[in-house]
Amino acid sequence: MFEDRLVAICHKIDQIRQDNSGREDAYHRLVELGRQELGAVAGTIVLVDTERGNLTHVAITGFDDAYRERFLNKPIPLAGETEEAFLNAGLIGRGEPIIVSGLQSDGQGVANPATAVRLGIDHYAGFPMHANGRLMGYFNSFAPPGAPFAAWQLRLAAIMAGQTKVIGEYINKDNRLQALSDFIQQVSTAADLASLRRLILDGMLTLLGRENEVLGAIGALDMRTGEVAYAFWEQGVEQKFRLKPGAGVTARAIQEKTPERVDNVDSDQGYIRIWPGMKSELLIPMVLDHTPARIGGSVQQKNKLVGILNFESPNRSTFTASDEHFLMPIAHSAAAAIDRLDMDRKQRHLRQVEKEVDHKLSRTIGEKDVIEYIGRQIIDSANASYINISLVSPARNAIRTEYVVGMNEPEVKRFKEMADHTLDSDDIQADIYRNGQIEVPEKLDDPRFDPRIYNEFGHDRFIRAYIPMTTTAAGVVGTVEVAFLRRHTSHIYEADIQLLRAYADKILKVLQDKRKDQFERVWHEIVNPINGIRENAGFLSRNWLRVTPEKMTRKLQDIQSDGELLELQMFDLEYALLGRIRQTKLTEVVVHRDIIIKIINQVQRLLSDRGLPARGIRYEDKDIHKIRLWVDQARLNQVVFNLIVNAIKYANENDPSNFAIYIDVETTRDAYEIRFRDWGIGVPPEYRDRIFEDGFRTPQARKLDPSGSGLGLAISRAIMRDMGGDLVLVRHFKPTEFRIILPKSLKEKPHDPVR
Amino acid sequence: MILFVDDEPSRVENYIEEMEMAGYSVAFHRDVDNALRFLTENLPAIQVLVLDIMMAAGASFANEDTRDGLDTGISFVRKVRQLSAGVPIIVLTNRQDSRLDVALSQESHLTLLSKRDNLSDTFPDTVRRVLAGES
Repeated sequence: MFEDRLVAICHKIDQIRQDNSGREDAYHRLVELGRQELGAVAGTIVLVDTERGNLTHVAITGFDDAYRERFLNKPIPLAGETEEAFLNAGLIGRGEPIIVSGLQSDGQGVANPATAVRLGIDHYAGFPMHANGRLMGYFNSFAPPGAPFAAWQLRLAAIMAGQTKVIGEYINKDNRLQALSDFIQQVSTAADLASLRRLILDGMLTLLGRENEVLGAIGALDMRTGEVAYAFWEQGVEQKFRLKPGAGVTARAIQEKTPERVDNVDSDQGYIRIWPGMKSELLIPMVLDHTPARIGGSVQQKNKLVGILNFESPNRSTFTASDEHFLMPIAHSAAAAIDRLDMDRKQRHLRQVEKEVDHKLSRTIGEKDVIEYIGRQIIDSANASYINISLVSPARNAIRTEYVVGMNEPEVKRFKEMADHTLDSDDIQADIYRNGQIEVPEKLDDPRFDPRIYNEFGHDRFIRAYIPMTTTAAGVVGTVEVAFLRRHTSHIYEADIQLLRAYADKILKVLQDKRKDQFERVWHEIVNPINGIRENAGFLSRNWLRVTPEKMTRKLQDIQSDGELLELQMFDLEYALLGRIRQTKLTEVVVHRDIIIKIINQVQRLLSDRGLPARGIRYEDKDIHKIRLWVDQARLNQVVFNLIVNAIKYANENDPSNFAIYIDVETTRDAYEIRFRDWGIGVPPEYRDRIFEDGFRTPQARKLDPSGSGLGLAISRAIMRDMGGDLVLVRHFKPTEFRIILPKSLKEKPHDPVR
Repeated sequence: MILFVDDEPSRVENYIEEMEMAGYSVAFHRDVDNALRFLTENLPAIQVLVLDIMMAAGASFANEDTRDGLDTGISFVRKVRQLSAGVPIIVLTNRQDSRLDVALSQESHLTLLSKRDNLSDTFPDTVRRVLAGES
């Protein structure tokens, strides 16, 4: 009975559904079931793609191997009538059952007669499968000559078509749902970026549903070079491919942050080949919506591009708008996962850097080395292009670049020469100093950018964050400028800003740490003479009846020396705390008589402490009255004192009997140059340019004298330049020669000696 | 014998003189290398070691982290304790740094004094108390 037969068939169909062994297997079993139950000689299931204008045999039974080889899973155009075209567009378009006989005589618009003869078929019944109002495909049955389909067979075929559609949808949805669920699960629990990227790519290929046909690659954005670094796997082995900035269809997708689809790559000049033989391409950017970004001084929501997916097919027009709509939100989830892991990585890196910086500081590694280390870590972690650290100099009323990382040496030198602006200027650095806020200037033509620097260094390529370094005591003490290539992003996101802020805090800590150590040494040098005065005064008051006149004289001289020393140390303290010196009253001074000779007397105790000969410091008698100038005597005193004390402290301790400091004068047309020559440890040539840096001391100096603050030469040069002269190192060893340059213009009495 | 170790002899001259006037025998060394050598050779005779903190590290502590000499005295203390667990040490310094307190707090038979608060006239009394185990 037909009904019994139908029930039995339905059971078998349901079994196929329950087995859920995959779409391919289900279709094959269905078409075979249909052929058997209908008594047909052959059967096919074809899926129709009206968007692409093709149809694909997804199951074939009863035809020979050559036929299967030619058509199974291979799309063929709907239009046209060829040997292959069993169904033409006109028939398909109606989406109605097609029942014809006499295929071998004239084809009936269904088959080529010769092919029908070859295949032994003469009767055809095709029933459409519709889903959501759209034609999905046809369930086709073929009978031999003399065996047309009976009514009950046609009824059965129609039922088979309906069931095939239902099962196909079920399996498809089920597969897709499962795949999506698996994808979300894996992506949310991926442990590291490398495995996450692979999961995303494999998952998206599965969801796309054309694993056997489509190849894919996942692209990461190299923010430093502007390239896109693609990765894909062949037989489990990772392959890499880099696209130059602005290259390929990729560049368009990145620019617009929207999918790009190319139906025929041969007609797209922008296409760049990753795999041979590909004909169509789909790019899906991975975008994180509504991500906080720093724009100017405020935070706004922007879309963040974190990567890109590239799918390619050996067939034209493989990808559809549906694919785009389906994949975009999934790509969004993937973007969130990538962003999260990337931020985890950056945080871990920051923690490591913090530990390493503390370790370096405890080993008294030089400030420059530690700061440059931090700069390199920022570049590595945040994929920045360069870092510029500028420091405020209250003494000069200026903010100036002190450290640059990410440029070559000549560029750094040039940049430093140019990046020096007064604090009241319109330059961006001065503005950040004044307002003390983190800023990412929005406009490429921001009027605060120094056009000389902007043009010479190609700053139109960058987007830059400016982060002020602020202390409670001194306010803004400098800025950290971090530059990123604009190629892949026109924004700096707030999470990265906060990371950069943490790095800037670390840089500030390094600067402060060095200041603290420096302060401790300066403080020690202040307390020493205070205690000395108290000690000697106390000693004399207790023992004045007992001590010899010589001892009395010596102790009183020590008290006087300590008083003078204390005054000098106060100037150092002022500089250490405030970073500036003050010039006060100008008086007419005979330099040798009023300053140099007095200091030589003053340092006799220091010579004695060091076991050095008292007569080791010599000068020319003919110079005693030579230089008479209007200067700030206390400040010039400080310069001479620093030079002489340095020469004493850094004398060659292995040969004290040969200790000597020789002071003489060279006169030029415009200046007096007082030469200080000594035969001590000298200045290693690699440090020649650094010895005038605030806080810098050579390794040898640090070994010999723990009380040195590294400020002496910095202060001395600042004093001399403020006077209109200079302090220079002319020769670095045997002898070491410093020169104080005093312009002859100082011979003239100034209009206002009190400043 | 009281052994003074300080790289600025003029700063401890009064202390030395007060100790000599109080009847103590005093030795003085200006650098840590000679001081360590003297101490090693004369350990049994040394009643108290009086030590500065900020000194050049010399060869003896060249490979230690003395923060460029800021903490050389700390290294010296630790070296002395390897040689003798019991010789009293007075650290006499101008430094006022809580790190110093932390670094030396675990050392036995050690007295930390600031020069500011302990001028030379009271020093013999301080040494007497240390020798009597009163501080």
